[in-house]
Amino acid sequence: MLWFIFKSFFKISLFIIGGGLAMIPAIEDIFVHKKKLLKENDIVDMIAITQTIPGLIAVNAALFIGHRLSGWKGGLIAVIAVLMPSLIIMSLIAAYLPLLIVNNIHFLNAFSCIRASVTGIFICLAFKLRSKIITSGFDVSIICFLILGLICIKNPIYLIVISILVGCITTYKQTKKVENI
Amino acid sequence: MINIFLFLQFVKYGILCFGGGYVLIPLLFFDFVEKTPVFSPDEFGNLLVLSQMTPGAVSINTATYVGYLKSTLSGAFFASFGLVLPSVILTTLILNFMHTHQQSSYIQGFLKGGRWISFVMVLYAIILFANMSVFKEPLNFEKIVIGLKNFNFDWFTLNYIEFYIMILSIILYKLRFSMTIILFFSAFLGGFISYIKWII
Repeated sequence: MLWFIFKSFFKISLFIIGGGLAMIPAIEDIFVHKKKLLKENDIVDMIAITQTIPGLIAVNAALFIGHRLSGWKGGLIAVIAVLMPSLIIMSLIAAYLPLLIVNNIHFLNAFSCIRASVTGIFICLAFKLRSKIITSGFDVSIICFLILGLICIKNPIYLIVISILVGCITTYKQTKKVENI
Repeated sequence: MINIFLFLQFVKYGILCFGGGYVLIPLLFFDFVEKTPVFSPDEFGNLLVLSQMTPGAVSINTATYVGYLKSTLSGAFFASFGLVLPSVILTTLILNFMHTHQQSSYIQGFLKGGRWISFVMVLYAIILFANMSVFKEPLNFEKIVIGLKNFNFDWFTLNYIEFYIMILSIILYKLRFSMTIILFFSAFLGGFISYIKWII
């Protein structure tokens, strides 16, 4: 069982390009449809958990599935399997890329164009996220405040702490109001 | 010694990483480009693009690359291990106490704040990438304020090829092409256009 978990997560991590979100359909395909080890409900739970817990989506998903299938050991092995392809491939690239980019103008221009297309993809992503996150005027104002702060202060850590504090305070007030009524 | 520093630094990123790896981009930018210039902004952009285009989770790829540059293989291992460790611990904790946590208002507030900051980080990542590609010079906040006061728009100059490729990739993304195809396509297009220009 452990060997099967390792093998399937290694394969998923090796063949899926584009990060954690792209891995979720592949995980569903292998564990639910092909091997019938998990049910659809488990995948729904997994998506809910990976979206809410702080941390990397790919790692959280692997840990959850491994944990469901065979406890602690399964979770750890799934995480290691997700890590390994990235470690190997990126180490190779980091070791040999300085040889690859030799001030070739066309190469540099191609990279500049990829950066432009990543900008476009991120804009789409922000539009997708917007409907989930911005639900009231207060949300808009706090997001404007945070982004101005990020541009001026240039230290994200303070802003992360501020944002979490404000989130805690507002939900605390809301729940108090509900209790009073 | 450098390995331990690297490990601790990436543990910090792992804790601060709300809602996926995109949050990592501004954090890494401030630490590795602005504070201690390990990369130039363009190199940093190339690094992120590379980790987007290679298999595996984007943030782990980035961590591995940065770690390798700092102190070869052991650095790569320590950096990605540090990045993963907090989320492994947190997730196992939450998997064990899931039912009590779901209603707690503190956890709800925590998650709400985390969602705000992750959205802000995505917006900031857009600005960073646009500075590296679409605009000829990075945007300057003071210049924008002065320009908006006087109603003129000379505070930005566009790179037209990159701008059109950005629009094209937005359209392709809306047509549900996969991200990898779009990235490789725009790389090919960019290289091709620059080659034609060079010939002419």
